[in-house]
Amino acid sequence: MNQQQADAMQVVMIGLGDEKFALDAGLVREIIDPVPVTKVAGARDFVPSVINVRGNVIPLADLRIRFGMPQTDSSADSRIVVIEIEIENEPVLVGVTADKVYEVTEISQADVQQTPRVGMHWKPEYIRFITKWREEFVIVPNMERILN
Amino acid sequence: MSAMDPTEIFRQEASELFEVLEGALLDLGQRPDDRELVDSAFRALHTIKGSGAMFGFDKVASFTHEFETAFDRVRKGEIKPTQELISVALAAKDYIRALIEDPQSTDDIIGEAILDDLKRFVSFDQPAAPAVQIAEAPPLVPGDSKQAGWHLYLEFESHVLRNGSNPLDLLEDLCKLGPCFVVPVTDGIPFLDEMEPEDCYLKWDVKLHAACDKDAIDDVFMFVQDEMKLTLAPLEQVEAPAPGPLFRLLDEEPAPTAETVVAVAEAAPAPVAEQPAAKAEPKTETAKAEAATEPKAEIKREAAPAKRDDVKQERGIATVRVQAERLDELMDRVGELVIAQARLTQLASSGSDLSIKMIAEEIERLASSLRDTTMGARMVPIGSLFGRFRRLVHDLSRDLSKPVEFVTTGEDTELDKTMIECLADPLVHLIRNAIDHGIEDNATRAANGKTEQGRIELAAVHSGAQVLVTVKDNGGGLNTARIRAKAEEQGLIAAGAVLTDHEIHQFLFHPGFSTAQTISALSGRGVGMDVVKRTIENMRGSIDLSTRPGQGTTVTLRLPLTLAIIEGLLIRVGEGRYIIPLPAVEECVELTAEDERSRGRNFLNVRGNLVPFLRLRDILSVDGSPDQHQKTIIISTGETQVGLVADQIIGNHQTVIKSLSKLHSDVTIFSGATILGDGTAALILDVAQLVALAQSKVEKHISEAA
Amino acid sequence: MATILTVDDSPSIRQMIKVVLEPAGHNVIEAGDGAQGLAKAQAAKLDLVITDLNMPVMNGLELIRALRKLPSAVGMPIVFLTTESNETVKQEAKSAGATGWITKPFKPEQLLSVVAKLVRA
Repeated sequence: MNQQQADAMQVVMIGLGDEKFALDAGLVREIIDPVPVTKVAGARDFVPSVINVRGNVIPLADLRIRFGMPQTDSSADSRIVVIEIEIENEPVLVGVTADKVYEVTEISQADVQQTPRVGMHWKPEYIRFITKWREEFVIVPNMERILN
Repeated sequence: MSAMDPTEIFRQEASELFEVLEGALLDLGQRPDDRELVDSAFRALHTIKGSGAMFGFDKVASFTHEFETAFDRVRKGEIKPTQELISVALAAKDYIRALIEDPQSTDDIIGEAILDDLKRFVSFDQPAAPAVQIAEAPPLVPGDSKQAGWHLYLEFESHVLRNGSNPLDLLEDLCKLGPCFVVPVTDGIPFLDEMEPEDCYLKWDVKLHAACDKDAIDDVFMFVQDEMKLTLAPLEQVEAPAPGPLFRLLDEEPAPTAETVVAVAEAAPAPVAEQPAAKAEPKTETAKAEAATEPKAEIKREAAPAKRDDVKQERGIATVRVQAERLDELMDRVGELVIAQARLTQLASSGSDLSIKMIAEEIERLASSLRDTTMGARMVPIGSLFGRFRRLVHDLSRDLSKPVEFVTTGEDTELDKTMIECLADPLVHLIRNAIDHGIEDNATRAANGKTEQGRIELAAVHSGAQVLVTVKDNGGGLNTARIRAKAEEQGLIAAGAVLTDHEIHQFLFHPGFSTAQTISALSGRGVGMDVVKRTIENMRGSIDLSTRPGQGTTVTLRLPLTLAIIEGLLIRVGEGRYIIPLPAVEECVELTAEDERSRGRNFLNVRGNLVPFLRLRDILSVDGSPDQHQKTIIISTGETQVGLVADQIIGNHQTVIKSLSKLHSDVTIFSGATILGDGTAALILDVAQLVALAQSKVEKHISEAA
Repeated sequence: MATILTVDDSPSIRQMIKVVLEPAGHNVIEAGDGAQGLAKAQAAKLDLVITDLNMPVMNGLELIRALRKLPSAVGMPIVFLTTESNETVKQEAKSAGATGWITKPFKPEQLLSVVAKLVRA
């Protein structure tokens, strides 16, 4: 049982395009409805804009860019997941766009899959591991790497 | 505040005391006979010692004790504060500071060496005073006997009640040591009409049935020992302890167990009872008391005026102490309020409800004055910073053998505390430069008929919404030819290119540009002028140099008053809205059709001046076609003007500055972001960067044309 | 419980006194020099004053003398803080009207014991 607990990980399951990403629930601060974005000219393409979240101007990251996925139009299901990560030893709030937020759930690291399915264009350093959740493959991204 | 750790407060306090101490020591170098300075230094040391011991800085306390002893001799006029003594004292101050702030960084050996120096100057002729020790509660030394108890006779001086001692309390404390049998001795009580209501007439005979130490009894009477007669004898024969419950003194009617006990309880409170007579009397009473102490008061009064004066300086920093973070938080809240208010104003103006509009205006007014008040609370006089440089100048002047007079003006000029912190390093660099490179060596000065002593002026002055900080030296001035040669050598300009002197001097701000012929230990390495410039620009300020050959150089820093909220000009480019800091805006003009046509040129004719302009649409990569009537906002930094072409000028905007996250640190054309009335984020354009961008385009244009 | 005024130009000492006495149920008022202390003593009914001696504006001795002239402070205990174990200083303060003293540096229990000596519930 202890073994199982050690392997279990609370995650927020989000959908982006055809993929599912599991964000470590420990990083997630809040999930909000889409807000108007402000484009930042000259910014790197995976952090193209900023948004206002409760009076803080925070960057909005697009994971699709890092995973070479096509843009999708926003829908009624679109959300922004606000996470907190460390950059140069300082906590930084970042919004992450999601086409859909499924649920907060538990995944097991015991089900970690080898990553044969992963296409060549997915940089391995962006992925912590891939696991199975309800018979589907989900990606547990390495947010620190993706955003640095 | 009550949750604040006293040790942390002590650290802050010590850091202020060090500044007071350092200031006093440095001034003492100039005015060795100024008693106020000696007193001020002494008091700072005294507090550091006393408080240091309280908060566990034992080393600080013992070291400072010696330092203080040394200064006590200066205070008593036994020795003079010579330059040498002051140098040692400064080193001692640094050592104590290290002991408090970063004990790891220093070593006892250093302390001992400094102490040896101090002792040498002060020539201790008495054995070194023992280090201060944390006073322990009086140890319970085993008593001289295991006798059954004590027989005490207590007789107090008559004024003891007036000075706040209450014999009843003392008797009560005595009872805590063991069962007591107290008999009041009433033979000293005068007739009622002779009685002073505030005097104590009772005496007591007490038998204490406890095998306690004499020390424990002394401890009870420790504060009144000089104001009483206490005779103490071991109980010779064992008497039975008072029967029944322990004797207790009560203000109200005590249980009448024994006649004597009742007598104590009733007679004793009489002197302290608040009788109307007591209220009426005190004037004559206290007058007498005063008369008694008069001679001593005379002596004290001489010292008093001196103290009153040096207090003025301390007052400047004293007042209310608030954690810096709290001010930051307060500013954040005000920022949020201003943003919420902007939303309210926008909502109100789009509706038709007049009363809501009025409330919105009222709130706007309140928010604006709250903002001003809060920003005011964050303002700190720049003098606190200037003080630090006197030491720097003192040390540099000594190390480089260049006598320098250091003059500061405008210490009262206030700046946001964050700015003051950010200014420290750039100013250190500029002052170093001024002494190291600016002021000539003695021989050169003499040859040019200058005074031997060089002069560095550090000044601050308000100028509109900005503060100008200048570092001015009366040295040799910049060597324009050498700067030019260096710039050519580094390939920054073509040989023979026509440049004004001012333009040539700008190369000093170029990364990696140093003209110092000899790299000294002090300047010419580490941070350069480019870092200084960047730091100042990060504060949304600017830096400028002016120089006159043979007469000296002046570096001028222009700084905004605050980092937190600015007045901005809100503009629109395509769909996006941006803020330009208002102090940088000179004027807004319409881009004429003629200007429009001259696409390749990108110069604007402003009353005969050619001003380069940037199309923000290009810089911000905005898609779509521009509005028909393009507007140009002329901005400037120092003497350089640049036009920015936008689609629309929306109006003034109270801009609460939010910094961009590290994920956007690579984006340089924005200095931050803010939140608009409708809740969306808008970016603040970095004026200095845009001007630099425009200039580089101009240069490119010129070189292409050439 | 008791209302105690602490007068010291050192905020850390005042804070130390506050953090020791407040949890013991006392109400602690602060003043940064003698003059402020005198003003506060006139404004509030105090049960005890703890004052430093070496202070700007109005030193501790001056404060003690001034307090002893206030009708409201007759019989009010006044304790002074001193780093000196020097008898002269103590005598001077006592003759100015001080009730007792606390030797700096002191420990919380020492402060509490002195306060307990002079302030009764």
